[in-house]
Amino acid sequence: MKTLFKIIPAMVLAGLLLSAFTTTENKAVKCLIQMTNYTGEGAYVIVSLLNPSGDYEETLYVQGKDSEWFSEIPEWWKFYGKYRPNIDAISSATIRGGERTVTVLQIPADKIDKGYSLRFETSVEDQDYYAADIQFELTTENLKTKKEGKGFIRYIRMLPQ
Amino acid sequence: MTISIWRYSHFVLALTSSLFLIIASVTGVILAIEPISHQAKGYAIKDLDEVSLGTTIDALKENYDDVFVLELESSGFVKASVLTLEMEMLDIYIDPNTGVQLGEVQERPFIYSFATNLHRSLFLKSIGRFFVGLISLLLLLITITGVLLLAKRQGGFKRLFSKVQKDYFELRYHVILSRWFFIPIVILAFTGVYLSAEKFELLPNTTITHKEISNTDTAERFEHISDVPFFKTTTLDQIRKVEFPFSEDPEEYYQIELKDKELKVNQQTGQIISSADYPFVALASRLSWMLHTGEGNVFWSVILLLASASILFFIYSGFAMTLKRRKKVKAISIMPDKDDCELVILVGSETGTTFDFARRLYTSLNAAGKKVYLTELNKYCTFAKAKRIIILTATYGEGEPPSNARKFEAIFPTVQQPNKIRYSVVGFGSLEYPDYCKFAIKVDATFANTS
Repeated sequence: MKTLFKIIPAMVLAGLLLSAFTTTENKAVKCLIQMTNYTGEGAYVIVSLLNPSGDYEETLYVQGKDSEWFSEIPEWWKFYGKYRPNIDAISSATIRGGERTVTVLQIPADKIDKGYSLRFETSVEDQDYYAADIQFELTTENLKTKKEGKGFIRYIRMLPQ
Repeated sequence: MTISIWRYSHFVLALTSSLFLIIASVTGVILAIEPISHQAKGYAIKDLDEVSLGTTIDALKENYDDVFVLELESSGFVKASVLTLEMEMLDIYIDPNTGVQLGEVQERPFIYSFATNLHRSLFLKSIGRFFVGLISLLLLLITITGVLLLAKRQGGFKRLFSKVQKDYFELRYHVILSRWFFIPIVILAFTGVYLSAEKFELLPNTTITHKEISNTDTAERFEHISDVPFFKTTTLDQIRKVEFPFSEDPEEYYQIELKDKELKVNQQTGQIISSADYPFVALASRLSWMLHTGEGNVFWSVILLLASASILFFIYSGFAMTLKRRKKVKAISIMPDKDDCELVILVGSETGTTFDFARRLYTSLNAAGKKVYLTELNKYCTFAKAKRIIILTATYGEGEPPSNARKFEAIFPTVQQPNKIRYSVVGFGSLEYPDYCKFAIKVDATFANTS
């Protein structure tokens, strides 16, 4: 019994160390987002990782820093709004119609080619909301291409680093 | 007591918007500190006109895995958005000659984003923005009516900055400070209205159209970016923002925002693929933004800070003055009928000071057992038993009557007093004005002509 008490902390420590070193590798993918020539306020753009059953798994990028508008992005808000983790590191300022921005998405390498997908969600205050402006399966092939948007995004282009 | 339409509007506008103006001024003071503290970080680069764009792009590419955006802040800081060798995106301030990082772009402190939100939308999103725009418009009107009152008081626009008559603290400094601060406040209010109008798309469309420029295919290609003539000759002081090409594909170009136009530039030949001039409205918006926020100019930021703070003082002193005036002209409760009095006091008063004297005179005479009737010069009429009339009057503007004496000259000839009247005129005024007691002298002459 005594030995068991000695072993448990050791096992916990070993377990922690193991999990610390097996954190998932991220793949950096350069991503250009080109907006359509709409008029009005800057667009909020959210890039999320969806699991094979279509549920939100992780937020990869948030364009728009004014959190009072986050609730106007309903689908994502259902996922994010519950816990509201810190997204400072992956957020940047909004861009307007006709403008473009380049960012780097950190995509978990072990989720590529596993049936996961990427979703680009857009919303412009007092205008429209597109739950899936762009959505495609997360495959090695798709991460090298250009995708056309259906809403405020004209197209995105990706380039793995 | 009759007050002039300008003073009345000045007061009513101030009363309706005061609560919101207090919020806007307090947050305005906080926000004016931001550009000052930003500049104090000291990343401003001197001699931007001596650094070529090519040098900076080269230096950045050498130091970082990838570069996305280069931005020249109005503060003189050079900001770059880069990908580090560790595949991390970073926003940094750099030395444009070497590409070396001077500091990281910090997250905006909470107090400023909170103040901004409150300042421009009261946390009420679009409705709030509309409301703030409206208050801005009211502030503009308050300032304009204020300047008219000020000019009137000082005796014309030319004498706006002449000596101010000595008076109690609130009144004196309301006048003194308004002479200095009406200019920045007008600018603040006007740009505030402009920026709100822009938000609600009330201004002409500002989208720019690029004009394609045909190029020859035989243009020289350069190995090194710093050899390309365009990048060699363009210096950083002409630039606002550079967006780097997404990849090395020749179809991908540099998108460069200059002060007055936007260019797309071929990354190998340096040829301008297309160019677009910014429309006037866009330039006006940029100017409004700089004037309203004080961005990039510490001196102007300080003025905006003082102007915001002065609004708080104007609100305080304005209400203090109103309360004081109301107390002075408080109606006298029991006054005998006008046709029962042998003694009549007529008053001409603009700010209430003369009225105060008249009221005291009335009270004393009353205490001495006389039957006295007190009224404004505007209400001059027949007094059945009157034998004496005492006129107490100030002079306003350029020898004009105060608001409640304005009709007197027109009424006077139409009134025939039943008794022979003995009259005396007491003029109130300051020798600092060229038209000293002019109206009182005129009233005296008017009475003299009939007797």
